[in-house]
Amino acid sequence: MESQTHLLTWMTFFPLIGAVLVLITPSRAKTFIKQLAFVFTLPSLALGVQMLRLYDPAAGLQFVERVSWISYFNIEYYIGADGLSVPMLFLTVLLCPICILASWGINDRVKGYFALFLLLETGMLGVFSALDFFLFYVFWELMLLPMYFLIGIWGGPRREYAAIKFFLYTLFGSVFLLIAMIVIYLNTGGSFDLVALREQIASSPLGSAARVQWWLFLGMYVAFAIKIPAFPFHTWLPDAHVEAPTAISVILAGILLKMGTYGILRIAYPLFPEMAQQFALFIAIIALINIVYGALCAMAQTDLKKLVAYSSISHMGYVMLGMAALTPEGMNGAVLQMFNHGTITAMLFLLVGVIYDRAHHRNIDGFGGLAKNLPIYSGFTCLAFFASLGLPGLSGFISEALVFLGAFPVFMVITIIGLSGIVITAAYILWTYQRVFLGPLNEKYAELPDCSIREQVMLYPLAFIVILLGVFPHLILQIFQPTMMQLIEIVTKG
Amino acid sequence: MQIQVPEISLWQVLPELIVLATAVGVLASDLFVKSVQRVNVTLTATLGLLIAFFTARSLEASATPIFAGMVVRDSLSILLDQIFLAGAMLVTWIGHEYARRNPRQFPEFTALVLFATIGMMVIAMSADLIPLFVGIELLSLPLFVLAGSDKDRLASGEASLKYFLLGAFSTGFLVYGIAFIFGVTRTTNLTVIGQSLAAHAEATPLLVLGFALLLVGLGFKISLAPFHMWAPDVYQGAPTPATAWIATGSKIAGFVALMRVFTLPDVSFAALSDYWTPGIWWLALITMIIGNAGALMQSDLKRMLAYSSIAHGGYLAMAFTSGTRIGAEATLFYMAAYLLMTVGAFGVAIAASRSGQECEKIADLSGLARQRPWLAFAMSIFMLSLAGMPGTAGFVGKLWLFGAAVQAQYYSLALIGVLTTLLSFYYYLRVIVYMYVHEPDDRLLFNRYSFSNGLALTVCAVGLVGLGVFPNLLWSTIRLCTGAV
Repeated sequence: MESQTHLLTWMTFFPLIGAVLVLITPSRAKTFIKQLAFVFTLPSLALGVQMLRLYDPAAGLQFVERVSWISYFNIEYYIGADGLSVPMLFLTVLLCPICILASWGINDRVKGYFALFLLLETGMLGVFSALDFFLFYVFWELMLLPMYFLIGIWGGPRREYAAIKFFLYTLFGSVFLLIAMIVIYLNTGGSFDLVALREQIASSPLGSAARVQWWLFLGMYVAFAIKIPAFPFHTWLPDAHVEAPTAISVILAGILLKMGTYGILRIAYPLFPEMAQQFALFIAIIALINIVYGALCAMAQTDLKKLVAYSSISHMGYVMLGMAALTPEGMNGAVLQMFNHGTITAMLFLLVGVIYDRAHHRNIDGFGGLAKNLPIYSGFTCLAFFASLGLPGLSGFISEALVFLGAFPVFMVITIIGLSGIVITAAYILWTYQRVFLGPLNEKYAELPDCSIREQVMLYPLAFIVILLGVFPHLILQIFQPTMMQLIEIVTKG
Repeated sequence: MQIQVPEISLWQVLPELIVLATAVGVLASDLFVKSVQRVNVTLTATLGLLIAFFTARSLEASATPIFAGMVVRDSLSILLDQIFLAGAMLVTWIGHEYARRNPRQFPEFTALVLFATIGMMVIAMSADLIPLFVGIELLSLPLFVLAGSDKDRLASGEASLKYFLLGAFSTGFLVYGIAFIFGVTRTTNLTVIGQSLAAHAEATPLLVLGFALLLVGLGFKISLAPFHMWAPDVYQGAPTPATAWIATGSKIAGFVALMRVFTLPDVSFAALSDYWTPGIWWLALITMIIGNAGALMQSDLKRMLAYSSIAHGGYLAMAFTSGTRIGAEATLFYMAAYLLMTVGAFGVAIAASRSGQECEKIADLSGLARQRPWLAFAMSIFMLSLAGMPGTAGFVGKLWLFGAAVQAQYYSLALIGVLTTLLSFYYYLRVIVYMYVHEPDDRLLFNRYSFSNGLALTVCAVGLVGLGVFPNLLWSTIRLCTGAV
């Protein structure tokens, strides 16, 4: 279905226009730059809402735009959205304006920061909408760069180390993606078309070369696993999170991590369905390590932000487990968990940022009794914490339950061990809540002001979504369910 | 005895003649005009190069050799002429800036750049080993002088001497190789050599030796490891605009010579390729590793760029080894991209001087972003393109260099290439980090840079991004050439 509206193109490139405008604004006009950046994330959000309204779950790929780009190599500007990309696109356009609000405190090199941020938004939206392998790769790499600078220039004390670690790690993975892309291109007679590639591979010499397929799948898995981040490639994440400014942590955890699982579901699974089955057990084991090991690490942290970072590793493990199960519940749970983790963890990082702005430290043991003076802040944190540990009625519960339901018949032992992750999560979250908010008030912080209007504006939409999807999960489930069923069919038939 | 006079078709070499006339004019201006204005010299050179550029564009390509089979005006030579002329123009512009601070070498500097350019253009159209050799000499001699043109600096003299000695040495290899080939095939004409090889598929040891010596001689010119030793010292010591032309023009011309010798029109080199392909394969491998590993450890900007240029020679050699059409196309495309990004990077090195102090260390770029945002931004584009970031011409070029290697089933070579590229991100990004993150130690301010330098940098940056997003612009022309190669 060709769309005449260019909805996705506008959505993707509006922030880029904003970036250019920010660049030509004199750097003295700091507040104006911030307002400009905020305003230029809004059209994308509006288009995102429009996309949700127009999207017809039964119709498959939609909003397709296809123009020849580099004709000699069959490279196309080919974008579109299906049930997998729509939630991710919406998550991106939702979090970006919120993050701009969260960046209001940035006062050093304001122009660069907001220009890079808007460029980052374009890169992320591009990754989620690209249907051409080459285009996907271009956006995938392009997005690295603003991220590198946003951590490396505006980050904490060890920012340069964290930024280069993040950059080299991801780039190392991309190298394998690049090689896989070239090999596939040369073997299919020159195709980058992600939609058609599955059949083209099946009918090419690659289709019967299981060994080559195995290597290609492994290469792609490494590229995407680094981004998730799956054990043992997770070590960049705590560093990057601790050093990154609040808004960038939100983007990192809320959106970038999803790109890893998105890539597996969008590229690795459909292109090599047989390998997806072969690797299922392997991915499930890694998922288990992520869940349990991530949760245990989180428990050991004294830095609030590091705790949230490790909890992200643990929660991404659920996504991988559901994905490995290849059952309807598991796959749908995985995508739902991707979306839910995006909103919940965004809240958590925003909340950590709020308290850091006031207390200038993030030491869990350094607070105490905050609930007394900061009722609004405590309320939001309470909600986010409980959503994170999977309290029924909040969105996190539904996706985790679906994942375990889906994984149980396939990987019984792994699922049973994995369930312990929930207990550990509950333990570290409650323990943290207790140390920070309950008990006697730490006199040092008796005068802390509660959440400002700006902070509430960024938190309310996320809190609303967390509750809404906890009660009516089908609102979003129905969007991607048909796509996931189709994917399961492809993989299990292959 | 009847002496045959070969047909002289001067129209076909008009671009070369125009450049020659410009060079002589620039050189002579010093004799007749009392005080030569720098602006006028640069404007004259620019005008001459522009006319030559458009003359080259308008030439009719033909695969038939002219001047008794000595040179050929095929679409490849026309395209390369344009690349060299554009490069010469950019180097003249950044040299204009340099000459403001070192006025003594003007206008000889511009004239020498133009003379070297003629050498490159001759190499590009050679159909015979003799003009090829003449072209290489014509290119090398002005560059030796250019390297030593900063007479007050000891390092410049050292660079010149080193470059001259090793250059002479490599010429020895080259001539020796040509002699062996002539001995076996009794001709220096490349087409005839190809035909006689095709007729006797057997490659005699003498012939292989001849080609091997030729490869070594050209290996020095394009600084393939292990013939790269001179490059870092010369690049560092020579005046920066001269370095820019040595790093780009000379290296590209060397590859063009390789191309002319090892991939001939309508002759299959299958018999020989078994002998030279493994040779270049190993050279490419070692060059990529040594170039990148060397660049990793440098704190001197020009030395880092020297090693990076060695590494890029390795990438080009990798695609060249593949011997495929896509490899040749990728090589040509990457040459153009490499020219833009390297001249640009050296241009920034010239512009980023601080009151009386040239930019030497990478650390000297600290704080550039705050004072000269456009310079820092352009440098970022050059660095990212050198590293191969999508959206720049460096990425598109590199992608197909690797693609060519994979297609020829040189998987290990491609893998080493990709991994060393990964490594290279580290040292290219470090430059950007210095410009944007670090603050300078002292309070010295950056000089204002001249219009010509800014123009050159803008052309390079816009060209890189333009070709990165729309590679078709250049690739369509390249397609025409490889149809002939």
